[in-house]
Amino acid sequence: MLKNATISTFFQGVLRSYSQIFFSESYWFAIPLVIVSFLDISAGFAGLLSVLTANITASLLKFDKLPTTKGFYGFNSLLVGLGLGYYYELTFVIVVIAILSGFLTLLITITFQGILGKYYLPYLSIPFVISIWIVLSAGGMLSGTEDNQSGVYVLNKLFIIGGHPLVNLHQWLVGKITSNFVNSYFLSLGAIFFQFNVFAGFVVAVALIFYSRIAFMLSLLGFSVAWLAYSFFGMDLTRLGYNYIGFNFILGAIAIGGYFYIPSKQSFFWAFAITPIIALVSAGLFVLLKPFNLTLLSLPFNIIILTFIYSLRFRTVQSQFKEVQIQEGTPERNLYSYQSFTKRFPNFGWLQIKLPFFGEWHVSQGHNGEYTHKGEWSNAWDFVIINRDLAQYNDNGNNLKDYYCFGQNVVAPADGSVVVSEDGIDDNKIGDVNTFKNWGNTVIIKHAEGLYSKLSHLQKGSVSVKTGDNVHYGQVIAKVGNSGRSPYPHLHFQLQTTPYIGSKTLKYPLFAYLENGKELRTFSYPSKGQSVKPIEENLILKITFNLMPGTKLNWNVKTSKGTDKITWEVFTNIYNRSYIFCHDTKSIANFRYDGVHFCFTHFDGDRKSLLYYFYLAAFRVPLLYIDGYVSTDSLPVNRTFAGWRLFLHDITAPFFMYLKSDSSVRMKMIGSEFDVDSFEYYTKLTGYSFSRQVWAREFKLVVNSDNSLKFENESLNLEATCESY
Amino acid sequence: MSKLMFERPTITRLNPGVPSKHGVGTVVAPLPFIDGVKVDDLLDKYGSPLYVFSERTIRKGMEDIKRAFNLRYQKVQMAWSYKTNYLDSICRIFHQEGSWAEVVSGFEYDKAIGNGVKGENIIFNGPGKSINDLEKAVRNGSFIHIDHIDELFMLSDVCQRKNIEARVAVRVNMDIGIYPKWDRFGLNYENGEAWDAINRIMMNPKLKLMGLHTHIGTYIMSVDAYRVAATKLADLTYNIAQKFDHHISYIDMGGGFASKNTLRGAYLSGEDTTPSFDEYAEAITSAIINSQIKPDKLPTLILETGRALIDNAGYIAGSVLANKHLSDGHRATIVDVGVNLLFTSFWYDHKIHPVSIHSGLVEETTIFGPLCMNIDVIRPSLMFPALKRGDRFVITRTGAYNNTQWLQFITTRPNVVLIDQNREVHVIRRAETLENISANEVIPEYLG
Repeated sequence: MLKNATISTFFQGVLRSYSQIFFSESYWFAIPLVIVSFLDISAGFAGLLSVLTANITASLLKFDKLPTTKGFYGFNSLLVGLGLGYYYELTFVIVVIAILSGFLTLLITITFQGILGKYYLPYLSIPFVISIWIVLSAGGMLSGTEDNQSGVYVLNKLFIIGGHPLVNLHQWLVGKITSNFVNSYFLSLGAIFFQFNVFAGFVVAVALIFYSRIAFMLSLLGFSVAWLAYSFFGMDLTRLGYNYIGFNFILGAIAIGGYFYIPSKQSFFWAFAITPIIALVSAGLFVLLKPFNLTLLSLPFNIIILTFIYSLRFRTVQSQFKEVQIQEGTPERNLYSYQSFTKRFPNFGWLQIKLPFFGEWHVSQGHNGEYTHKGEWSNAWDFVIINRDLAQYNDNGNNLKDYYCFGQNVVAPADGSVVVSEDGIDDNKIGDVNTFKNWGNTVIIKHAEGLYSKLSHLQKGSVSVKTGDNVHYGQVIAKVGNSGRSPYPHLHFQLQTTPYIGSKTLKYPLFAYLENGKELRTFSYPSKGQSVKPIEENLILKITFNLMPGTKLNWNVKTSKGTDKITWEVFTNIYNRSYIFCHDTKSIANFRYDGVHFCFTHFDGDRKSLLYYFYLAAFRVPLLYIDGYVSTDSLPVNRTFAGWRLFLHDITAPFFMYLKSDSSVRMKMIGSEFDVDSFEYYTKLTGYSFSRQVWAREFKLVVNSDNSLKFENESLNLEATCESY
Repeated sequence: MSKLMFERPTITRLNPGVPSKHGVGTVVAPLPFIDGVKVDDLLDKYGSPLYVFSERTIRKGMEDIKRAFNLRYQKVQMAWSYKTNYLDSICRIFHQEGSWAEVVSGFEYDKAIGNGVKGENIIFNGPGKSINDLEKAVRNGSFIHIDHIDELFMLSDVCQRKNIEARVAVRVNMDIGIYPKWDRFGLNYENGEAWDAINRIMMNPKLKLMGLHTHIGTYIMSVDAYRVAATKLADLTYNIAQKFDHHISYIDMGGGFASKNTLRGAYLSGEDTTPSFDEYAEAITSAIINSQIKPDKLPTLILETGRALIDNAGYIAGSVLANKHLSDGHRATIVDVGVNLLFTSFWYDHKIHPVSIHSGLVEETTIFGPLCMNIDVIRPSLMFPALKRGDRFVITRTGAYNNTQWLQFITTRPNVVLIDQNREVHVIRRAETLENISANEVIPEYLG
């Protein structure tokens, strides 16, 4: 079992080394590429030998398994081997050199990973360029090497592999392609694998379309811009094809337009803009390298991409042109994930600042308020308590004690440490203000570097924390008072970047609260006139959805096909992201739990698995019960659509998206307040194409009070139950 | 110019010099309107005497108490104490405001069901539950508050025989350092009876221990008493969790919050001495929060506040029947509201306001009711203006107990009206007639 797994991961590593040349981790995409590499048997064989050497060595030397499996350590060696086999006939000496250069390239690869990794930069194919320069130069010195002639005799080569049919196919293809441009494009694509024929390029192009529509469009964009640039500069067009530098533009456009940056109008523009520069650099380097008898290979691409990525890191504003943070393997996936993630979690990683009190309060002045929240102090809130007649006080309101909020507890809005604790300023009589000490009694808490919260106008003698104290969310720190510039009792709350009384305010949202008793808000700004209330945790839902690593969910699944037992297990990966793993289908579903919502963020695997249905049903579920509340969200379309619809959509996706899949979740509580029997989630998923509904799905998820689960879908005739865990 | 009002002469002692500790003298303010509705109009239309309830005051009271507790504690549930006032309309206002029902008899239980309260939202208290009452409540999923060990046996027997499961709580009485000790209801904490009952409940598969209940007394003016009681119940909750790994769902602190009425014999006015809801809330919630109960296991807090929520909303309007002088020259006024209608006059010094403006001069007066009974005294002594026959007055804060403990003695009971939030007046209980009273009488044939 273990051995099989090792072999399989090794095999994956070798295959992915081929697809990595196009920044891909897909192994089916590698299959046509492997075939193409063997069009020149010598090149193909030397390449395979080299990549095997690199991966075996990496494994023997106990390098990190993940990059090997993903093909990161193999693809440079593969390229070196291909080049070697292309330039020299496959003699015994060359076989040995292929093995040695595989090892050498691995060492250079890892060295560059170390050097460039410090700057969070990829090493691209720099190891290949260095390695092949050395190996090829050395090749000339050695005896027992023969120049490979097959590169010149394309048809001979094809005949050896595929006989007449392949030769005929190639001839037919050549006959069809009359355009010089298309011809050069295919040749350039083939040249990436040291295959200088139209057929190789054609196969690569087709594979590329199926791998990624966006990458394919970018390859065309890069090449055609280069074509135009060359004709504009008046340089030799054929040189573009025959000096094998055309792929620099293709790979450059894919890298900028779709791989290292999120595909978008902007990324396409910069892919377009960078291409003439690669052409310029190519021309310059060509002349510079000539005296050393070195060829350009992918050097221009490497230099420009690294320079571009590195220099763009110094932008102060990210704008719409965003670097990919988590590489998902294809431009499409990066795009859909990014779109979905930024829409769903615009405040990912922000601190959870909550309301600084318990119970329901009223916002008497919000941001940019009409009384005092102006100018540099505009992003603050004033809170009071009102009755149903909107009065803030009982009786006639002439005494501080008449005010509902006076003397109520003020709590720390988040964990932190107290940096300012000022007390001793008298509470004003109603109507009076103290403009001398205008903030009154104040507590300032530091939550993070550059994030402080300030609570002002506190009651004299009520501040129960002192400077340096560590406080936790919910800890009572003072009572509401009427000190400072406060004509009637209220609580002033603001966030700021500096730890001083009087600092200007910072616009920072509050994590989670109930607005007007019925709307759940996360990372939002309460505004004047609203009533706001902190969220109460629901224990049943917390225990059920706060899935800890190691938790096992044992499902009994009943479908029309019969019954089945399925086990899921919760893991956390090295990036601290939790996921559910289905042992039977090897599917994974990443999730997040923030105390207010349980959300799935990612799914990979079998779309007929129970886990996939669960991913759809619980894509976003609220963890507190509000009568009549419906929670909505949008799923990434590449997880809900498939086939031709998605294939076509990918083409327009960087510019505009017409497919959409929405989920809405309604909640129901069964039982009474004390004896909650269960919470029921009714999820409705709808897929739209140009706002027209194309599919719909409904799920019912029941969370019982003993946190056992029940999951149903009528159309699939699915009924699954999970024991409590 | 309108005709000046005639008021008969009074003799009042002149107090020259600085005001005494009693202030500058008694001022009795007239009360011509209730919630913006003219009292005279009410009496003209619905007769005298008349019970008047203010819906606005009821709802405001609920809002105030809920605010006070909700700001301090996450899970608070009110339960309307039926025995305080079970006029259906009044109960329904409380239920609309989110109150459950707290009942102490099968009669009240049926009334609550009739008012649309769900079985699982009824708390069944009291020492006198019958077997049939118990079975009905258990089947409805109501909370049965065990008052004595015999009731526990009875309940356990019913559940066993009928094979049903009951949701129960134990009513606990304890020494909280005030006098009088209320130890006649529930099971005692100090002598171990409460634990005995809890052990038996926990061992009985048919009984599910849902909560703990205490009712420390009535008109409790010390918030510290509540603090002690809540602390003891929280300790008990914690110990039950320790012993049985069972986390109870609620702590019911009963009722007993003082209304603003002044107790008979109290030196200072109730308005000045009774604690506010905020003070009660602070004492109770801080005791529970500061107990050893884990924060995620904090039980729901149930309050059965009755008196403090309805007393202020009720009025009785009436008319003067006669004036006379007693043997010692003391003045007495006879009114048409007797202790049959104002049962609470036995323990409160109710405030009485004339409806019309008067001269401001007051005289020590005894107010008698119209019953032909020596005990029919509404106020033995108060400083009161000189009203004459036919003048009208309003007695305030009469909402609690008077519509449940009233007596049909020598006459029928008058109309009860409710002034809604739009100042519309609704009769919520029609005046009784002779037929109503006689309807249930059966005359043996030989007397016919």
